[in-house]
Amino acid sequence: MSDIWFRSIQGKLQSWFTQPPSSESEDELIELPPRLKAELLERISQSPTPQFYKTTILEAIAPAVESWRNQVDAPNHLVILGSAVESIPKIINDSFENWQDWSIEVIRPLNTLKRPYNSRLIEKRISKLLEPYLQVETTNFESREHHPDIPLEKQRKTLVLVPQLEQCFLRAIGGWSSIEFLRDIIFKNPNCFWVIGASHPAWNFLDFVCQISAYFDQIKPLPRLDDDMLADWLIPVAETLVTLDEAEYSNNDPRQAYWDLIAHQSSGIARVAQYLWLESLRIHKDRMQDESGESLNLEKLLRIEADAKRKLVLHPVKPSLPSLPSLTNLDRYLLHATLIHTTITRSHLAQTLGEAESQIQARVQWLSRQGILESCEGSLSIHPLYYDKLRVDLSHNNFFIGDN
Amino acid sequence: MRKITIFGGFWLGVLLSLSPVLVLAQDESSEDLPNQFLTDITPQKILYGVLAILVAYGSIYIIQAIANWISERVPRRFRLITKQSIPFWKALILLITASYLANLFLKLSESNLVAVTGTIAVALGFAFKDYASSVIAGVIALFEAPYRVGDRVKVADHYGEVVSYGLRAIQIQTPDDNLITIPHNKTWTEPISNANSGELEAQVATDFYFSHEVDVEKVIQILYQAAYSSKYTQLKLPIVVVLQEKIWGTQFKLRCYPIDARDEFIYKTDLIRRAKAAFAYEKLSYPNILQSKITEED
Repeated sequence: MSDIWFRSIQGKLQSWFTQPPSSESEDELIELPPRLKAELLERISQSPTPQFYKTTILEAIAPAVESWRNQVDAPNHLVILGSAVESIPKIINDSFENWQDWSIEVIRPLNTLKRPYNSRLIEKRISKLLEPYLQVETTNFESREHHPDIPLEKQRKTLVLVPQLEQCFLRAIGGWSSIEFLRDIIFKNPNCFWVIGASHPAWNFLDFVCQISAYFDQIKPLPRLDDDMLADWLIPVAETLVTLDEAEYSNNDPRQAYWDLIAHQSSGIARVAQYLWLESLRIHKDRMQDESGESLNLEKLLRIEADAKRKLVLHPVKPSLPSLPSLTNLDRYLLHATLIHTTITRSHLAQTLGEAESQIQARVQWLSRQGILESCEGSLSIHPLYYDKLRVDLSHNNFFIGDN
Repeated sequence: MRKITIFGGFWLGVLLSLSPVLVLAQDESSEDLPNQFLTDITPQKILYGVLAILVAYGSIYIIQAIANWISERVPRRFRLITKQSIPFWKALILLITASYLANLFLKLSESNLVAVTGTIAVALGFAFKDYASSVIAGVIALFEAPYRVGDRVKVADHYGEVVSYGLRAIQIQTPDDNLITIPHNKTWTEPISNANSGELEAQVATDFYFSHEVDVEKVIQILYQAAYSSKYTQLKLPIVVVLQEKIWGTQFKLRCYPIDARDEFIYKTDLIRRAKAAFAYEKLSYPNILQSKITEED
């Protein structure tokens, strides 16, 4: 935990001593219009996963699969761990788009798995989703046929993706028996290789309650993205809509320090970095007015720029993560539970907190209004911009967070 | 009447304590005696003395208020450290004020110091014996730390959180929100049970009762899961279930720690709520007390 504090102090110092990245005066710049921001965010969200993530995953999987196909007792799993705000299912699925080993079939039976209302039924749901896949035995493990005469690599040709382990459990009595069930299936199906995606908080929690690390020792954490990787990933996406101002410095380019600051403040987490970068973009206030001084809406502005055959210029300012508002103890319990489950519905949140849904509703509303919780398809998750500060706050308040 | 007795005792003490000095100063006239101990007392000095007392009182009040205010706002991890600093600051202020007043009004030569301390000791011995005993116990307790501000302690029949550490006594806030003042000199005679001893976590033991026929493994599994799934549980600390056999059934004791000792009772409630829901789902049988009584009588 001292690592979290140290990084938080280091980040503050770095921010103080970093030069502003744009030559424009900050007084002349205003925040992006919400629609432009939303448009940019949409494009970034739909952009491909950072190449470095994909390369890391594939490079970790290749030797593990190789050894599994050649050795009888080799582990048949690989766990990919990432932060609780990272879209791990997307990263894993995107990585397998470049999968080129045609001798191995990649199946995604649990891609659509969502926690059922009654957490005791998760096990049944998993079983049902695995049913159509005959390669995976879910019952009668003892009666499984052994073919010692067939070469191992001919028997072992299925790779199963479990992109979001968090959907397989709920922190409630009986809520993680499904994890034990899945663990048994994985161990009793050595002819399938399992790639499991999970967040660090979920993994740490499961490690406490069912010692999951003792069973799954092949773990690959997602790497931290550095300044160059982030710039290479984000700039091309943004430039499909806008253009970014060019640095006018011959030497000592502050833009390098700017990306370095983004990489540091986001802890190298792609999703935090994308929000942080977007929040740091400004537009010149003159651009939002026409010659007569009347304010322009976004469509009109983009049309004017298109007519002039150029793109809207955006200017970066020093990026900074927003501060957390003053939280109550209930808020912390609620956010900690959300962090463990990555995404969680209101009813499951109430179940795991042991409260009635009506009792947590007011705080959920307040946290959503403050922007700490974001809602997507009825599920709540932590907003990436608050992730790092929330971890520091929870750790200061004696919550177990574990390593990231 | 009681007040008169106390003050009578006090002056008697002063008189007795001065007797060695009287012997030493037998050649000098009785009018010179105050001059040996006291400096020239002027209205200005009295004003300074009064001001010093007021400043000390005000400082103690302000420090206590600020420390309490800060401790309830800083992250939990720093709450106890902030609170535990209060007695130190109070003692420091009292020491500085007492030294200042002594310097202002007393001639602190070597022989005078012996005489004055002797005087005070005897006076206190006669009149404020319990008070002095409490103050001394308070000073010793600062070092021995049987309790600190923020600890959850049980002294005699009183259990609660130490919210104030005074010169003479501590104040504990009970779960029923009563404020109980307990003099420090209780530490001489009473056992003091401290649940967290300067830590944020304190163990909570929750009892559950079942009939002898119950599926023990099932109950133990549910109790572990109740603790692991509670939002209040400090996962870093051990969770244990212990069993005890009784005539009427089996007693299960779940021992675990909340993230914050202050949540002790709400934590217990949460554990019981979760466990009972699971017991009902699994249809686990509770002991039949009536049947047990009949058996016992037979």
